[in-house]
Amino acid sequence: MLDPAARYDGFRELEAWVDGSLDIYRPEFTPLLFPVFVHFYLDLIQLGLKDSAVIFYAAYSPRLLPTQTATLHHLSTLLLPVHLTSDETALRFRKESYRLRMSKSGFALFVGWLTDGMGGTGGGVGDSFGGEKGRRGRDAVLRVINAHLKIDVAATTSALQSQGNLEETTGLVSSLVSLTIPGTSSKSIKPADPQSFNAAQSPLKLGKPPLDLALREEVDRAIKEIMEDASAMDLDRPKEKPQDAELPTVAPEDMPPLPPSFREVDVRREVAKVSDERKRIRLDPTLLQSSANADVAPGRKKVVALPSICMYTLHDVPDGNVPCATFSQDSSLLATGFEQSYIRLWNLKGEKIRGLRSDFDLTNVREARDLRRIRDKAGSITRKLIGHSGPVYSVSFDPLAGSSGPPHWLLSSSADATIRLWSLDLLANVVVYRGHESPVWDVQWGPLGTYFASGSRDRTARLWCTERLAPLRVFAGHLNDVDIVRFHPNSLYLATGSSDWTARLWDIQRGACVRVFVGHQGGISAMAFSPDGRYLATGSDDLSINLWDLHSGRRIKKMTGHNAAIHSLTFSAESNVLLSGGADWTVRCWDVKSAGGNATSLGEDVTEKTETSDLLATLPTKRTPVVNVQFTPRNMVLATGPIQPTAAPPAWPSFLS
Amino acid sequence: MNSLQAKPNGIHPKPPATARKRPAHATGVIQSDSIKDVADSLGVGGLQEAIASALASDVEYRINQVIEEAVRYMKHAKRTVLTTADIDLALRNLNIEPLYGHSPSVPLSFRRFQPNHSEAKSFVYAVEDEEVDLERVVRERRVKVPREVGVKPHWLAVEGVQPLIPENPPPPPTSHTQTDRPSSPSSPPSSLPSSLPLPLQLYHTRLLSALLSPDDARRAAALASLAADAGLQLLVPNLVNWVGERVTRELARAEEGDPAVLQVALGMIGSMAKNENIFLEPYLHQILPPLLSLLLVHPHPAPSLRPVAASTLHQLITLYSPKYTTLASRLLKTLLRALLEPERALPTRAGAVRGLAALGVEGVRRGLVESRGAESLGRECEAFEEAGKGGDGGEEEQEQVAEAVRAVREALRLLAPGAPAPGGAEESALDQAGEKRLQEVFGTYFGRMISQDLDRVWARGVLQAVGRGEGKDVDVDVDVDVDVVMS
Repeated sequence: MLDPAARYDGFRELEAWVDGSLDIYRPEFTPLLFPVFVHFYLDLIQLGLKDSAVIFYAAYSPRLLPTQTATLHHLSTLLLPVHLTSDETALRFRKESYRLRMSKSGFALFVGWLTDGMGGTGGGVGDSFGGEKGRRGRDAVLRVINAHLKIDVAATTSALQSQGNLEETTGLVSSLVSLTIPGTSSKSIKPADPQSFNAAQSPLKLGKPPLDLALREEVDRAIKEIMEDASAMDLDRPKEKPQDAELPTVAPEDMPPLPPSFREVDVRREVAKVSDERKRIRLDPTLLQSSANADVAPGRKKVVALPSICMYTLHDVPDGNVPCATFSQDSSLLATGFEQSYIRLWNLKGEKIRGLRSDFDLTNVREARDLRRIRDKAGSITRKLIGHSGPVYSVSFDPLAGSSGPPHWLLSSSADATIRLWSLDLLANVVVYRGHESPVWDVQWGPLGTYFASGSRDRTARLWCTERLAPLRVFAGHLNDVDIVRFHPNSLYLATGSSDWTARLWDIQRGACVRVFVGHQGGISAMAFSPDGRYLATGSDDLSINLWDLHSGRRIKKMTGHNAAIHSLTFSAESNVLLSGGADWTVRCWDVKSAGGNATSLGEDVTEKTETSDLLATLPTKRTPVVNVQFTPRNMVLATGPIQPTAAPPAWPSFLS
Repeated sequence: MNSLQAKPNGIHPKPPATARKRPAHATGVIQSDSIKDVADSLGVGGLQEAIASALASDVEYRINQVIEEAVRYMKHAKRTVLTTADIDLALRNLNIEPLYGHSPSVPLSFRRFQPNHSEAKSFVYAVEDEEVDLERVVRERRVKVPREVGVKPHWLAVEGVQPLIPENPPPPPTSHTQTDRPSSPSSPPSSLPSSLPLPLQLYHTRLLSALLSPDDARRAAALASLAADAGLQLLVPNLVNWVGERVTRELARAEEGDPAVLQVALGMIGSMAKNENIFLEPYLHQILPPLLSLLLVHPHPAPSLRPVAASTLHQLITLYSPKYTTLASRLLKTLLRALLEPERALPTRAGAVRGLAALGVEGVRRGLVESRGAESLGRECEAFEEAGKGGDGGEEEQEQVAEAVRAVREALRLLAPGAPAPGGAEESALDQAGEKRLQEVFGTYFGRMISQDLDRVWARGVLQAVGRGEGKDVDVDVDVDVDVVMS
């Protein structure tokens, strides 16, 4: 089989056969082309036939390029046999079986073609050719299929498969899960696909975290006090009517260990939560459809269709880009990390940021008043935090105070492989967490404080506790960088998004992967949990946003509309509106509850329309990529991004212009 | 597998290898030639082709590895442009020493070399290192401190609707605002920005339709409104544009151009200049070109409009030259060029003379006297008349000469504005010397014409003015512009 011509012929014939097949089968045959192409190419390289491989690539890649650009481009740089032994993508293709799905009848046709070159096509359709050459070509295809492909034959005879289904089931999916079943018995040897993996896992506990009984009494007391102060405001705890949709609260024994006794800040946070809930602007995107009954429910809170967005534009940013930015929950602070290795804090209320002086005597500090006395006299509304030695890729404020007051801690992660904890009272770096070996792309506080998680270039996500320098858990399993980490609202689970095109859900206690979300056609760049704990939204480099059901691990829908990278996602408090900010200088509002999909009204050009029907609004900015977009607890939206200088495009090297 | 039997089915297509023949070594961006060049530069000569080719493939793979690594850093910095900093970080992460000395803010410049051994059309590129004199840097270069990063809030949306504030981008043009404006064929429908208030938009369409109507009364009313009404400032850019476009279009059609439109255009300029509520100064540079074209273009749709154009020019100059001091000298330069450059047509020169007259006495003196414009114009007129006498003298040429003479005569009137005292000084004809002097200054043609003129007083006045001018001429420092024109 040293003859490259057999592979040319084989691929050419396969292509002709796929193109000549009936319309109903073509969607399930088309995915065959990509793995066969890849393996033929790798074969040629393996045999040292570099020139033939290049010719093969040039002749047949254009058809596959639109859907598989990144992979194909990467493969095209492999030119010597030695590359195949070290390159991961090539190794994955070689070692793992590429899964495809076919219907019974489709598979029968395919086998027919492989044996006699006739199946599926009407007599003489296409320019398939027979004879010795044709047989050799089909043999080559058959060899690849035997060695590297795994075709799942569906029980149904119907050939119809949706595109979404295809994305979830096709590809090198087996390794995503077979690696992650730790120590399971014999049945895990057989690699499972993500669906069966997800189905095999135990059900998730997605309800709200329990509230400590003593803390709850204290909160109730505090609320009553406020009520007496301002009796006009009926700030009592909203009636806890257990809606049927409400998920059961997590049992206290399931929670990760937390500080045993509550503090004043906890009471204040819980009280603020209640008052936020009462003062919240209710969002209801269904109002857009039925504008008639827009002002229903007299005496109730105001209901509007879409949120108000306050945009904080950063200007005069060096090089015009900000890797990360975040707002504190009480909307008083904005932190941005820069590529120049520093973090900058802004007080959005216009108050001065003043740290504590470093030259005070601890014995003199007895009460809060004393603390005020040792604060720096000078201060400004913005402050630099210097400590990292590489671009700062993520910042996160501690959630302990909630919306009741300014946060006291800030976490940041950087290309220098460290995570740093900053005290916002001292305005200084307090702890450096080392453990990752490569740049730390993301860091995120747990919803209850105490814990935080990080994701790194070293393909792991880690769980940390602020009190310990070493990570508590290492979540390994992703096949590529962990780009983003997010805590489930009840802090039992951690979601990670990776450049291997998947997102995963991990059990924090056990450190095991409990769900795999497969379907994106690019790395994950943004994630958000819905506050009701049911859904996960992921934004990807394929410019789509997927909504996943956590229980089943299935994709609910795919939302498209962005035309550049998606940087940030956020859910409204009622989990019915999703906002996304992206590099296309827009903020977009999405309807979570509607069915979505490509609705095309009459006379519209389908090919030009990339926006799914659940896109409620597109709000463009003036040249500002939206780095962060965040719902406040009262359903206001804060967004931020650096405005791009209107300078000339980058100077090209002289010989290119 | 051998049991699988293939049936002959159809024709044998050509294998793609023959269809796309590529040179054997062309396997990517990095060519084996480049590797050889690098080897040469390192002192390794005579690298075999096979080795160079394999090396090229490997280099390409490694470079791609670095780039794929760097792209991660780019993505996480939320950028879309790969910078040298990304490459540095990527190299560091791959345990390779980074390439020092490159900064993303300083673009690289490359130099192209042609290596000696290679054939034509293959070049080597190298980064050009700028040589910097340290002493000078220390002495001269001041590092500019960049502005501090700032943050500024605004409402991107209020309940899902974008407020129309400068911080937000303008809303995309909706189709219905364009359709509900009446699209009369005479008015450019798309030239009005939709940001104009609706009344003004209406006024604009009405105004233009009135201006272009054949009804004289409506036209006059429109011009009068333009000359007196307040609150039209927002429309000025559009009107000025309109005038410019229209004049250019009509003049381009040469003799077929519509004189009525040109007249309206002139009228509009005049009216706008008259209107005290309109601040026309910023648009002068847009108004003057069409006006000068009207004055100077040769195949002119309506030569009779030249005097009107000249008077409008005069109006503008009297209005704006006090505030805008270089205006007159710039105009003078243009007009002198039109008058004196050899290949200009006679009507153009006549127009230039009228323009100079519009500039005032100084313009006439500079143009006709000091630069000897009259003399050369006279020679040309004479030549034309000679040709006319020769037989085939068309009426057109006669008319052109007459127009030129008229223009010069009117211009010269400015030199001696004094009204002739009735019967006061008619007794003395010009003496020989005076006549000679006139001919000296204006050339034989116009000199004779002036001296033979019935209006003796005027002739004497001209002579005196010339004499005065001559006397002053020595110490007048000649404008550089004029100097250039004369030389």
